[in-house]
Amino acid sequence: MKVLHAYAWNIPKWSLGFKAMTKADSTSSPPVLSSIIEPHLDPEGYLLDLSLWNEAIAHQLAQRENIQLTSKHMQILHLARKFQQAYEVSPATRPLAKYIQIHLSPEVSASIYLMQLFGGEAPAKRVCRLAGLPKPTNCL
Amino acid sequence: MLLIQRHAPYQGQKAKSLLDIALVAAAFEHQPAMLFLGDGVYQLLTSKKLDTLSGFYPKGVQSTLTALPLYDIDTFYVDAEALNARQLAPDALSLPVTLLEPQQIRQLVRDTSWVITL
Repeated sequence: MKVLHAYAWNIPKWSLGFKAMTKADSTSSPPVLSSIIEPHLDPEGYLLDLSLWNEAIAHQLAQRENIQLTSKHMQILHLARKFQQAYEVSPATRPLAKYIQIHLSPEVSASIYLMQLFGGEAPAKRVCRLAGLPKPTNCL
Repeated sequence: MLLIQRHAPYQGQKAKSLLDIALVAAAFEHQPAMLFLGDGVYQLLTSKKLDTLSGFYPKGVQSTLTALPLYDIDTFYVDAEALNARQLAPDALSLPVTLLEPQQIRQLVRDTSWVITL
């Protein structure tokens, strides 16, 4: 868990105790309030309150899985959210790949692209997890 | 494999359950055809009825049905008589469909080895 350095809050550094970090420790992701609050997750790591999702939460969830999100990742997460909004179902890997192919890149293989970004096994599960979507029910 | 939808979108959970079967089948590399009979044709309309109590559009099967081509399910048959009886035009439907006459429907069901309906 990341903790904002004390002077950002205008409170004495000692009050944060041993969790206080120095400026040098803070990583690249923007220091926003949500980054110091652990979002509630289900046992599989999906957000319990899906309405909480924002890009900062996505970065935080990705950190738990040791992924550094780039703009390319974020583009996919937003597409997955668009898919879910349009069809009211969380995308499984193959339909998500098709959807990406239609909306992003007709020329490259979207499923390989997905696997490169989000890992080999069931990338759609991880995409849905990081995009704040329900677990895809029909994804193997 | 043929899945037969016979129920209106908000008539219980049957439409949703059969749609789930379609999605599961697709995950196992099966591409079932879908046949819409009777009130089932209402599933192919995109307009949703606003729930005046909650102010929300209830979750139906209509939106998810339009995702089926992304799951490689793209054979949709519709009972032409059912469409006529409800004064619906084929181009008002949310998916490209093949219209079948009663005789053709009987033939289709006879020729299919797995038929599921709820």
